[in-house]
Amino acid sequence: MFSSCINFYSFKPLKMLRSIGQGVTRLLPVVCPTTHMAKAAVRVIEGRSVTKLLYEVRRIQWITTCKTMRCEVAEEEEEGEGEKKEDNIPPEKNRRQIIPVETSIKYMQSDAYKTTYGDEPVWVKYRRNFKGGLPPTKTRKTCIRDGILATGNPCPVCRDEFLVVEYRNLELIKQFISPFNGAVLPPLKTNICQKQHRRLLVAVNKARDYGLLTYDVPHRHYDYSEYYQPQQQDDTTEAGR
Amino acid sequence: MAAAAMRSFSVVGLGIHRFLGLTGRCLDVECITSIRRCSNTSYTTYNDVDPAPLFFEGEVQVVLQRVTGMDIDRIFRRRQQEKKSTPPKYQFLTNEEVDEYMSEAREKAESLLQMPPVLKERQPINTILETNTSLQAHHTDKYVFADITFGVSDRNRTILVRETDGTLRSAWWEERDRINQTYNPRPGRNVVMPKLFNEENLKSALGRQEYEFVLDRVCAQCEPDSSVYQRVCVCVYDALDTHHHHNTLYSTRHYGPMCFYLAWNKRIDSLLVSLIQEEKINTASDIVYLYQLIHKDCKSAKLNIEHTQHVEFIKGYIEEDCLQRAQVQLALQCYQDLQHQRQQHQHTVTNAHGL
Repeated sequence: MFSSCINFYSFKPLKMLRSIGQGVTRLLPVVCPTTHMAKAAVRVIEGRSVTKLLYEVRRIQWITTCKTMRCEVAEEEEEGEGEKKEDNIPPEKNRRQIIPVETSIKYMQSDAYKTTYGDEPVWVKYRRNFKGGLPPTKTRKTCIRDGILATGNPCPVCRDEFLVVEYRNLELIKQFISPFNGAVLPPLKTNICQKQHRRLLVAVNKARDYGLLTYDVPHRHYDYSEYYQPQQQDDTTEAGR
Repeated sequence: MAAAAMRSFSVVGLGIHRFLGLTGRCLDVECITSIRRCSNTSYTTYNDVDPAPLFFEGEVQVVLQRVTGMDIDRIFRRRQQEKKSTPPKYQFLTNEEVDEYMSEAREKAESLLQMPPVLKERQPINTILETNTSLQAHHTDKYVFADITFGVSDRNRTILVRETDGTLRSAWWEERDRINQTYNPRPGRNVVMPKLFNEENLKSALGRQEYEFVLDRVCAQCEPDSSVYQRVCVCVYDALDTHHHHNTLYSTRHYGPMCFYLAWNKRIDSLLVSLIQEEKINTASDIVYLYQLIHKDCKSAKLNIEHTQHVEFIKGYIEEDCLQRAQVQLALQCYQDLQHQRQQHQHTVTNAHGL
C-alpha cells in the first residue's frame, strides 16, 4: 500500500510548489500538528486558497514522517531540484499561471476580446454538452483541477484564462447580472461551473458592498412618531430607560 | 468608560448565539476620526442645535414637499428588485375608475417621497444599571439581553449587556443596531457596516455621481441620528453643492433634507443659481422662504415682501442675506432678460397674426 502511495503522492507537489514560486509574497514557517515537526519555510502562492496549501503541506509532511520512505524521498528531492519545468502539461490546458485582475480588466477592453466575443456576454455563445433534452440541474463542480483544465468543454469563464472573476472586474461581472431584474443569472442559464458561480456571487456581493455596483435599495418607511413627539421637547428615542 | 477589546459575546434571545466581531466602542472611535477627515468646509453634522422641531414643523414640511416636486416618471421608474417580473396589464376603465387609480398612484408616490427625518446626532449611551462584582469570574463572554416582544419598535427596544466584570449596562448604539438587525432583520440593512461608507469608497462613488444610491443605502442601513448617517449625508451634500448637481435628487425623498441642510448652514446660493438657470423660479423663492423660516431673525424676512412675488422676494434675499451675491444676481438677471425676450417675441407673433 505504501509503495503505491509513494507513486501517487510523490514529491511532485513540492516541485510544483517551487516551480510556481513566481508570485511569492511571503514565507511561512509551518509546524506539523501531529508530529510537531517544524517544516522548512513554505512559499505561499498568490491566488491559491490557504486550505489547499495546508493540505499540500500536510501531505508532504505525512510522507516525510514515514522513515522507510525518507531516503527515496530525499533522492527524488535532489532530482527535482535541478529541473524547474512543468510536467508535460499541454499549454492550452495549463492554468497554473495566475493572471492578475488588472490584466483581466485590460483584456476586456482589448481587440482580442472584441474579436472573440463581440458585444455579447461571454456565456452566450457557449454550448453545454449533456445527454437528453433537459440539462442536469447543476453544472459541473469545477473545470480546473490541480491547475489543469480537466474537461474537454470547459465553462465560459474557465476556458478563457484572462477572464478573472473578481469584484473589481465590473465589465465581466455585469455580464452575469440580469438586465431585467438585477439578479445574478442562474448557472443553468450561463453554464459556468459551480466553483466559478460561487466566486461570482462573492464578487457581486463584494462589488455591491464597495458601491462599485449599484442596485435599487429597498424603500424604507419611517414612522415619524418614533423620531419626534411635538408635545415633548426631546425625542423619545433613548432606549434601555 | 474603560472597555477592553472584546472579541465575542453571547446573545440571549430566542436561543444563545455566538457573535464574533469588534464591539461598538472601537467603531465609535473610527466614526469620530472620519467625521473630521470628511468635512473640510463649514459643513457640519447636526450636533449643536436640534433641527427636529423646525423640520417637523407644519410650514417647513409643506414647503419641502412642494420643493421636492412630483415627477411621476422619476418616482415610478422601473426598479430592479430581483423578483420575477410580470407583463403589464391593460384595462378599459371608466372615468371614475381612472380617478380612483390616479389617486391611489398619487398616495403611493407620496409615500415613496417620504423624507427621512432630520435629527440631531445621537449622544453615546453610558447608562449603567448595576455593578455586581460578585459575578466577575462567572462568565468569560459578555451576555446581551434583547427584548424581542412582538410589536416593539427597534428604537424603543430594551437591550442590555452584562459585562465580564459583572456590570449591567445599556447597550451602545452600535451594539443596538447589530442586535436589531439580528432579531428584526430588515431588507437593505446588514449587520456589518457596508464598506461604501468608508472615505475612499464614498469619494469614488460620489465621483461617479451616484448620489441617490448612496443616500438610499445609508437610509436603509443606518438610523437618521447616527454619526455614520450624518457624516455620509454631509459628504453627499458637500459633493452636490460643489458640482452643482442638485437636480439629480429632484423628485426623490432626499431633496427635502438636502434643501433643509443647505438652508440650515446658510449655503443656498449655488442651489438658487441652479434653480434659476432651470427657470424654476417658484422653487427658488420657496427655498428662500425656507431659509427665512429656519433663520427667523434674518434681514430679508424683515423686508416683508410677499412670498408669491417670486422675483422680488429673491431680490430681497440677494440684497440682504446672500453670500454669493454676484452669481445669484447674474442668474436672476439672465432669467429676467430671457422672460422679457419671450414676451417680446410672443407680442410680435400675436401682432403678426393680427390679433
